[in-house]
Amino acid sequence: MKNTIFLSNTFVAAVALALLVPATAAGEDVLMQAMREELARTMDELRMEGMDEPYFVAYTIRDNEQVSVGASFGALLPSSTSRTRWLGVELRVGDASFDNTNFRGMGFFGGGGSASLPLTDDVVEIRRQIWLATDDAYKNALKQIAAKRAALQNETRVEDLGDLSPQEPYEYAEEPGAELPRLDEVEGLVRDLSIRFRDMPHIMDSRVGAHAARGRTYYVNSEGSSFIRSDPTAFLSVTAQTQADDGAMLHDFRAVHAHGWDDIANRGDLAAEVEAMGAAISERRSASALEDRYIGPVLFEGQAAAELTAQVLLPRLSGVRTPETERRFSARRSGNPFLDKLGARVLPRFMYLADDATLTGNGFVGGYPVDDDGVPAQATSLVENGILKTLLTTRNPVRGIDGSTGNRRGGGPQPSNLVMTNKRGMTREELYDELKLLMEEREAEYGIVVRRLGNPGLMPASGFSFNIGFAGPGAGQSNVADALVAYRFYPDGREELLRTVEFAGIADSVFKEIVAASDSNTIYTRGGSWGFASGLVMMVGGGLGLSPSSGGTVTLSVPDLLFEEMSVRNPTGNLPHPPVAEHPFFEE
Amino acid sequence: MRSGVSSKVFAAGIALAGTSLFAVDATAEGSVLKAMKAELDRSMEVLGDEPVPPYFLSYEITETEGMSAGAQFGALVFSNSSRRRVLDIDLRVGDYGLDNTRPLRGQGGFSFFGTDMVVAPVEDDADAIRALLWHETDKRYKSAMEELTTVKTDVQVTVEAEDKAGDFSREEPSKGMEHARPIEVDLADWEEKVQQYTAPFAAYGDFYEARASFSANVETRWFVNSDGSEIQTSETLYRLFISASTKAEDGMVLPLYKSYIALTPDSLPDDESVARDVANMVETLLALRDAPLVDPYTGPAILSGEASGVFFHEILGHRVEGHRQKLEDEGQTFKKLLNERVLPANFSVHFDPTMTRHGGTDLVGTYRFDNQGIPARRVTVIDKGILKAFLLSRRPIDGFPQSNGHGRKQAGFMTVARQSNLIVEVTDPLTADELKGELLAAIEAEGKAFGLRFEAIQGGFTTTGRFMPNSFNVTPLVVYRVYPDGREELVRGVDLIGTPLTTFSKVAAGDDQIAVFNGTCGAESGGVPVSAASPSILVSQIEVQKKGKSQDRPPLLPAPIGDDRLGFAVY
Repeated sequence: MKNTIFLSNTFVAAVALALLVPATAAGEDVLMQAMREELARTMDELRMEGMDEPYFVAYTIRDNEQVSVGASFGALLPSSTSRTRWLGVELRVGDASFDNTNFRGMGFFGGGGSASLPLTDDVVEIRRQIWLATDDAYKNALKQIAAKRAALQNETRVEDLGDLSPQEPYEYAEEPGAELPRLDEVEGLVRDLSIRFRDMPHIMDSRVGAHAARGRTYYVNSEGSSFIRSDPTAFLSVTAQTQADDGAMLHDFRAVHAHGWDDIANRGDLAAEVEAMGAAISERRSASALEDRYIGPVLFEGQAAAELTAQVLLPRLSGVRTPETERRFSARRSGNPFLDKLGARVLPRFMYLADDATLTGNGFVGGYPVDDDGVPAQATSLVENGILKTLLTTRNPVRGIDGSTGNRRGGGPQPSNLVMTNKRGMTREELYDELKLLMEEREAEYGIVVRRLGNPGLMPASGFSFNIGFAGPGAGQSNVADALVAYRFYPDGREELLRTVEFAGIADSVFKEIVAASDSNTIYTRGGSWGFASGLVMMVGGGLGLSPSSGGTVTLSVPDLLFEEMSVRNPTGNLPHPPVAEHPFFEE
Repeated sequence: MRSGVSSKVFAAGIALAGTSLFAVDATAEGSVLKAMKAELDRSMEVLGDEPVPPYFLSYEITETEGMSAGAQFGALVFSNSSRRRVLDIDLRVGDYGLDNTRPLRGQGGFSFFGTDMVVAPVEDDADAIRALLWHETDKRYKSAMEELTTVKTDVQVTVEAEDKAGDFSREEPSKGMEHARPIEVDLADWEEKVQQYTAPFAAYGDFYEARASFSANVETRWFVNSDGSEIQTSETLYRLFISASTKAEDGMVLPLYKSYIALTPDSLPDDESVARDVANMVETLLALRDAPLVDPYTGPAILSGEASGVFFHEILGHRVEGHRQKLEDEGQTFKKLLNERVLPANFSVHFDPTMTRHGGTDLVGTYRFDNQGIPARRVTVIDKGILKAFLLSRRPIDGFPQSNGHGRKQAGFMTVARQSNLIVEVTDPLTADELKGELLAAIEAEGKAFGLRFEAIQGGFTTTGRFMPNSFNVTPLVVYRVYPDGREELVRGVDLIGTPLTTFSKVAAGDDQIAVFNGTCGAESGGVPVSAASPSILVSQIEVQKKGKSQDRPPLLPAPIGDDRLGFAVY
C-alpha cells in the first residue's frame, strides 16, 4: 500500500523536475535551493515532543575539484585528480545563551551530520542527504545538550559566556574562479623541476609536489546569512636531502602558495631556485658544526623570521575556549595561554600585529571575503604597542573578546594574513650594528644569524618513525624546527656557514625580548601542517564537523627580528652511517 | 581480442599448474624489471662485502591502475581513475635458519616493520627507479641489521621454541613474463550504469542508504630476487557492489548487498540481471523491516553455499595458515590434528589459486605466482575428512620445509601465508531437497520448534590467538526460520557464532548446489582477494547470538521525496 503511494508521488515529482529543468539556472542554484528548502523544513517541523527545538541551523556544501602531482629524481610519482561534494550540518538546540556546543563528555558525539553529495545537480537527492544528515545532527544535539545539563546540574558555572555570539545576517556571492590546470601541464612543470636533481650528485633524495584545487563553498543559515565563495588554492613544494660524510642529515625546502596555478606556472625563477637550493644544501656538507652550546644574540632574517613567528606566535593567536566537561574528566584548563594575556605585553613596545583577511595581491594569499560562519572578512588589530588586545575568534564566545573577528576556517578560528609592523624599523646596516653591540656587551666571539628555518610540514620523506618525547619542550616553551641556513657572524663582518643549528626550547615569552626589527618585511605563505592544527581546534571547539578545512593557508608579513638571547646547539643525537653503496646514477 | 589472449594464458596455467607457467621472452622484458635486476645485483655485490652481508634480497613493485565510479539513489557521487606503484623490499641478514624477520616472542604479534609504504615512480624510468631502490635498500639493510641483533637476543633469553623449523625456505628460482593488461571498460558507461542500478531505490523514503560502486583494476607486479627469479604478472579485477539499508522501527539497521566480482568484464552481469537483483533487494529489505526477531538459539541449520564458504574460510582457512602453527601466541587449533579426521569422510577441502572459474563464476583468489615469486599450486588441506596440509609461504614449519605458493600480501605489507580459492568438495552430495529433508529430520529428532537457514551473509571474522576466545562470527543478512512442516519465515537480528573444533564436528552433510563467495580478506599482510566455493551444508548444531543494533529512531521527518512541499515552482 505504502509503496504505491510513494511511487506515484515520485512519478509526479519526476514530471515536475523534467518540466522545470530548462527554467532552473546553473547547478549552483540547485545546491542553494536544496539547502534552503531543507532549512525551512528543519526550522518549521523538525522537533520531538518535550525536547529542545533547533534554534540555529547552518548548511555548508563544499564542492572541490583538485589535482595532485609529485615527482622524484625526474620521474612522476602517482598523481590524482578528484571531485567531491561534501555537506556539513551545524545544528544547535537550546538557545544562544546555552546550547549543545562547548561540551565534551565521555560519549562520542559527532558535532553534526555530514554526507557526501551527488556530483550531479539532482535537487531531490541532494535534499535526501541533507534530510538524513540533519536528522542525525538533531538527535546528536539532543544527546549533547542533555549530557551537558546533567554534567552542570551540580555545579555553579564560573563563566557564563553563552554559546553563540550574535551576528548580523550577511549575504555574499562571487563568480567561480579560474579553471583547474590540465593534469599534464602540472606534471610537466613538476617533472621539469625534479629532473634538475640529476645534476646534483650530492642530493640523496628529493621530492617535488604540486597541488591545485578549485573549491566552491555554499552556505546558508537560519539567521538569513548565505554565501557562495570561491576557494582556489595552488601549492608547489620541493624538498631535498643529503648526508655529510660524518653522517649528519641535511635538508631544505622551497614552497610556493598561490590562489591559482598560473601564478605558480608563470614564475620564471623556479628552476633557478631549485638549483640554488641544491647547491646550498651541498655547500652545508662541508660547513662547520657548532662545537658547543651558544647562548647569545640571534638575528632571524627573511624566511627564518616569518617561520619562527608562525611556529611560536601564530598558534597562540586563536581564541579557543576550553569546553565544559563531565566531572569525571579532570578540569585541567589546557587552553591557549594567551587567553590569560589579554591586556598584557607579548611583544616589545614598538611592535604591532594585525590579522587582515581582506588583504589580497602583493603576495598575500591567506585572505577570503567571508569566513566559514558567514561573517564578512575584516582587519583585526591583535597587538598594539606590544600589548595583546584581542585574539581571533569565530562565533563561539570567548572571555574578554566581543563577538566574532570573522576568522572561522574549518572548525575553529585561524589567522589569515598576519602583518607584523614596528615603529623603529632599522636598515640592514643598523640592525647588524645592533647585533655587534649585543655581542660586545657579552664579549661574545661571534653572533648567530639565521636565514632559513625548517618547517615541520615540509620535512623530507623519511618513512615510518616515532617521535619519542625526551626532547619535548618544557612548560611555557615551544618546539621550533632546526635552522637550515645559519651563520656565525664575527665582529669584523665575516660570516661562516654552519651546517644545522638546533634551538634548545624557546620560551613562549621570547617575542617580548625582540631588541630590534628591520624596516622592511618579508612576505611568506605557509600551509601544510596547519590543516592538522585546525582539526584539533575543531575537536576542542565542539563545533560542526567541517572536516575538509578550507585550506588554512596563512600569509605572514614579518620584519627581520633580532633577539637579545637564545640558546642554540649542534643537533643532538647520534649520526646515521652514510649509505653503503654509491648513488647508482652518480657512481664512478 | 585481448581477453581472448588472457584466457588462453589462464588455460595454460591450469594445464601446467605446479611448474613455471611462462616462458621468458627476453626481448619483451620491460625496463622496470631490468632496472630492478641491475640494482638488485649491484646491492648484493656491494653489501656482500660488508661484515654482515644480506643472504637474500627481493624487490617487488606493484602497480595498481584503477578506475571507479559510485552513485547513490541514482545520482553520481564519485568517479576517479588512479595509478600508483608501491615498492616492497625483503632483505634478510643472518641465514635460512635464523634471520632478522623472525617474530620476537612474548612481545605481542604485531610488528611495525614492513608496513612502511614506499611509493615508487609511475614512469618506467630506470634511473629514477634505481635511485629509489638504492635509497630504500640502504635503509632496509640498516634496519635489518638492527632487527637481527634483537632477534638473536630474543632467542637467547626466551625458552626454546616449540617449532624447530627455520625462518626461510630454499626454493628454485621462477621466471615468468606477462604483458600488462589494459582496463577493458569505459568509465563513462559505468557512471551511467551505477546511476541506473541505484535509481529504483530512490522511490522509497525509508531506505537510508543505497549505493552502487564499480571499480576496474589492473595490478601489475614486477618481482626479482637474489635466487634469480624474474617475474612480471598482470591481473585484472572488476567489481560491482550494490548496497542498501533500511531501519526497523526498533532502530535495527538492516543492510543488504549484492556483490559481483569478475576477472574480465565479460563475466560481469548484464543490466537485466542487475535490475532483477535490485528488485529482489528492494523486496527483501521491505520484508526485513517487518520480519520478526530471533532470540538466541542453538539447533540445526542449513548454511547456503555462500554462507558455508565464508564459514569454512573463517573457521578452517585462517587456522591452516602456516605461520599460525608457528607463532607462540596463536591458538594452533589444527596443528596437532595433522592426519586426523576433522570432517565427515565425504568432505575434502582444497586451496587452488590456479583455478579461475567454478560453476560459471570467476574465482578471484587466483594468481600465477605468489608474492614471494613461488608458482601457484593446488593444496589439498583436507582429503576425505583427514587434515593433510597447511598453507605455506617461504616461512617453513615443522614437517613442511617448502613453500606451497601461498605467501601473499597487499602491496606495502609483509608476506605471510594466506588463503587463495577455497574449494569444498563433497562426494555423493545430497540434492537441495534431500538436504532440507535432513534438516527437518534433525528438527524433529531434537524436538526443536524450528531450525534456521542462512542464505545471504555479509562476511565474518575470527580470532585465532590464545588470549582472546578462539571463536568466529559469521554475519548473516538473510536468515529463514524453517518449521517442522517445511514452511520458511524470514527473520532478523542474529549473528552466527561458535568455536572452531566443536562447530566443525557438527558438519553433517552437503548438497550439490555449489555457490561462490568472492571477497577481500583482511589480515596482518593486508587485504588480498579470495574466494570460497562451497555447497550448502547441514550443521547439526549451530548457535546464534543477538546482533548489535543502533538505538536511534528512524528519521523524524518524512523523506523529501514523497513530500508535497517539493514544489519546484515556488523557486
